[in-house]
Amino acid sequence: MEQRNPYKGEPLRPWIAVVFEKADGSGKITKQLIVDTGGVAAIRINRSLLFKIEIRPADLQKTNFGLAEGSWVWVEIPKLGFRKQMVAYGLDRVVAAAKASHSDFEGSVGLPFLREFEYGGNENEFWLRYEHVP
Amino acid sequence: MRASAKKPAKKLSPRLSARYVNNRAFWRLKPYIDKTYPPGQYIGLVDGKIVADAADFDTLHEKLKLIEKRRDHSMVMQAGVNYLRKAIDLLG
Repeated sequence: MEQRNPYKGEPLRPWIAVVFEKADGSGKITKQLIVDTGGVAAIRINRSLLFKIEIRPADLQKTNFGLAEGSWVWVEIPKLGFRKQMVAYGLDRVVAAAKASHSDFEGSVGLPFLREFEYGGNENEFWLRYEHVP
Repeated sequence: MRASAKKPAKKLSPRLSARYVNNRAFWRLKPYIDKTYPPGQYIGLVDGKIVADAADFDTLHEKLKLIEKRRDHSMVMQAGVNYLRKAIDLLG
């Protein structure tokens, strides 16, 4: 199974849709995140979203965009059968940079996230493939 | 008398203050954690101290519920994982 998305935004960006589970169990939130293949953090989102989905605090990172607060969150891509606890970092300025490309974008995923998948792109689309290993 | 050039320190919220305490403790304890626990083991810190560990996140999460006063005053990290204290984001 794969998720395949045409590039979007100005400049054009690869992106994926992921689902986060709210920490209070009241539902799920779907977000579109830019794919940053050189990104050092698994997930960067804004702090207000992070607080809604935080299961437990993780580490703090000093970045060139300011302090990033890490939190363990549930991440899913249901159509690929992917569901995992990962550390996402709250960093509002990165989200602002993503939104400058397209208002649908709510953050980014980086290499630690992409390592869970096979991924690639051509001149039109970016794709993500996942094989569940029990 | 000359006024001090030092700005008063910004008061942190209790949540962020707890995060700094746990974060500093984690980095101080990281060599011990990596030497003592198997790679991938989940480690729970509260008030700057290791209070619990488990092989999986959910088990540690449940253990911490019995120990902590506030969920957002805890911290969970994994042994043997290379975390970054400082990071450069190129998105923009």
